[in-house]
Amino acid sequence: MGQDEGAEGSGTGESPLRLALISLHADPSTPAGFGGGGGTHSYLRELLSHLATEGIEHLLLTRRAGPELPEFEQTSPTGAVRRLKIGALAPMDKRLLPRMHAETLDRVGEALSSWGAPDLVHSIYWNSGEAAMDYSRSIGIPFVHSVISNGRRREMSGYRDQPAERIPTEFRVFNAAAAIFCVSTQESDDLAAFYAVPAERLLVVGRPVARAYLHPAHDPAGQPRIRRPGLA
Amino acid sequence: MRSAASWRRDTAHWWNEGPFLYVGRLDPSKGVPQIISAWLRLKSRYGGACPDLWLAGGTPGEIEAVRARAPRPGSLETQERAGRVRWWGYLDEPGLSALLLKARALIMHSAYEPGGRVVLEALSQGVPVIATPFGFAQDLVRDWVSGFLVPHGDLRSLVRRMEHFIRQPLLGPSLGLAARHSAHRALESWDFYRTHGAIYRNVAQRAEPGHVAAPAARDVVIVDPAPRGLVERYPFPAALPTLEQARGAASRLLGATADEIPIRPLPAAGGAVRWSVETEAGQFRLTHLYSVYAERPLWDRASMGAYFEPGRERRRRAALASALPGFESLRCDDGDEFHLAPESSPVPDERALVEGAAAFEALWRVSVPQEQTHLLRERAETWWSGRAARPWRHDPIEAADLRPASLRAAWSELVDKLAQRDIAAGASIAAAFADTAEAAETLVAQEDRIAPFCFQHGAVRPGTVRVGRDGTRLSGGDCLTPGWWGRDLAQLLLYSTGPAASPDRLEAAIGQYCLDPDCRRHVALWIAIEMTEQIARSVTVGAAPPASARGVEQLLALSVGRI
Repeated sequence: MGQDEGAEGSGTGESPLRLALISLHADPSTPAGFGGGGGTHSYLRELLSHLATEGIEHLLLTRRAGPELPEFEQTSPTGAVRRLKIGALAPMDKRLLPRMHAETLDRVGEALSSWGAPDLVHSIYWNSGEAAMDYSRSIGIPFVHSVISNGRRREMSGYRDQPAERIPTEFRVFNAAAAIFCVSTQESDDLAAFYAVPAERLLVVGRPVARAYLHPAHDPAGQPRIRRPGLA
Repeated sequence: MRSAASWRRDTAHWWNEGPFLYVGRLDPSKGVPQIISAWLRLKSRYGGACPDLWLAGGTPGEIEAVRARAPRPGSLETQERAGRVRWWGYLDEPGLSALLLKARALIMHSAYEPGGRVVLEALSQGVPVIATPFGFAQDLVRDWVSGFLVPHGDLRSLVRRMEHFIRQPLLGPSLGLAARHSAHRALESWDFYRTHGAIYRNVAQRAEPGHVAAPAARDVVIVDPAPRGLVERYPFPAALPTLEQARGAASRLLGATADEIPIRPLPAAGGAVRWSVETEAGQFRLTHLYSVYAERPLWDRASMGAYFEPGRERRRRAALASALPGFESLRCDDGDEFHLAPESSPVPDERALVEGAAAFEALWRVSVPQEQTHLLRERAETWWSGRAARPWRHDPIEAADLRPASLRAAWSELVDKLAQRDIAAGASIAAAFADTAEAAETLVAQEDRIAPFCFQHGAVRPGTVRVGRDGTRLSGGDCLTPGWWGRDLAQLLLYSTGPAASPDRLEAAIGQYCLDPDCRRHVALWIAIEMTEQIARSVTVGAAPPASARGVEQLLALSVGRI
């Protein structure tokens, strides 16, 4: 897939790393801030951009939420998005996804079988974590997981809208993952305290910030910044 | 004729007035109605001095849904029509970045955020954040360093924290500096991309779930740049002296061995830390004054006073004050960091300290401009001529006329301001002074005959009044500072009688506190000036004036002895 030999993304340089990502409810083609699309969508775009830059071969699996969305999109020379038909081709409340776990697992298996077995699975959010956990076990590969938000903290914050199976599922996923990506220190602490996840598996990775916020387009007086030759 | 408010709106750059900003989805869990409610409270309290509220995010349908849930929909709509609340809808990154550049502070009030990327983006761009204690806000925002944390649903705290940014105009830039540092250091520490890549490779090679030696999580470094000497922050925690440093200072000042000096900390007063020192020679109070923001409201744009008072300047004034008759001298150490005073000096009791802390943010702090201090010192030098050595450090006194701080100059400045206000407001305020201006000028010209100064209390609050050895003194929460006698008492009386007090009530208060005619006239004139400045501010911001021109005229008449 056009990957440079010996690039950093190839890991040891011996064989290219093949990474499968599962994000059932968040499709990176949906902008953050639109409808229910929030930080997860941005997270995926940022991650996929990085994987493409690094030449890591990857395939993102997400649920196909409408007929207008293509089943397959090549997003970079080394990456693609495959949308799985899970339930109707229509938007779906993400809280209903766990009820379709068996169907999801079948679709994931089919998609990755045709793509070729990955070296590693990375799931995003707990409902995708369950699919990643069961799939990776079935073929004997590890999986890593991004939490995004955890049910215990949500519950403590007064949310009463989450499905009953969320926290038990999270418990299993968090403790089965080889590594857990936490967005903040608070989230990492939560997983250690509420889910008994060993600290050595928890990584606070934060979030990147877009260039616009590091190098604003306008100066403090409101004038557009003029890029001068020789200056970044 | 256009109103002052419409004139201001047409000519001012509304986009450069530092709005409060919300960015995010318009989901009910984001707390947007609470933000609107807090803002409406501030708007009703501060009028035109309250920064606008900008809300970015959402589709038109989502915006309408939030508006339907918003508190006081009528008030909200009024503010929307006036352009004070703006819904920006969905914006891309450069668009949000442009809004952040204009923002005074980012306001987020989510019930829960695992991260809250908007917080990180605002901090990265140097915008302080008021947010609920979750995710990045919990990790990176520190009270008085990079913003404020407010519990979800605590509307009162939200209002109070937003209020800080109205009352302290330099707060945003100061906190923004630390905010930016914190975010940048966190980004470096996380190293989002490289960490993901490293873990992928690590896990893929081991292929043994549960036994992967992942790199240890790195702590997020909360950076407190504390640019001491450049921008000292209230309450300036990084620079407070330790007990040992205080003991050392007391040792130097008392000429004793440090180990032998019993010293214990006293409750902190606003703007100072203190210790009690007991020796055979008596009991002393050791004080270290640190830098504070002068609490001047934003709408007081005509004020030329400093918003920020360095601790060194405050110490200098305290030393000067101690040299005046009727008060014990202070002993100041070589580094000008501490001063020592006998415990018998006027000092507020514990109750006053507690009250002072509680009321600190709600009160005005009156500072004495530097040139005023020079003038006072010059006079104190004269008074002390031929007496013992003076305890303050000698700075060269400018030979220039120091009158700008005088009553005469204040009057002149006010008349000048009013003339400008006529042009701006299209209404004649100065007409209220037509009958009395000449007599007032005469009074002003005689100011040299009146006692030039008193001890300023530092905060306009009746509870801080102290009685000294030779009559009524006004005492601050931590120290005594020289001030202009008439203005000080005028501010106190105006504050204690309330902004809507009738001229008759003010006159009665003046009569109660000022026993001689000169004192009454002088204080009445200062009250008139204070009231007129309040009217001028109201005209500037388009708010209802707290005092009437008729009231000012009555006070002026009192000042020149016509009633």
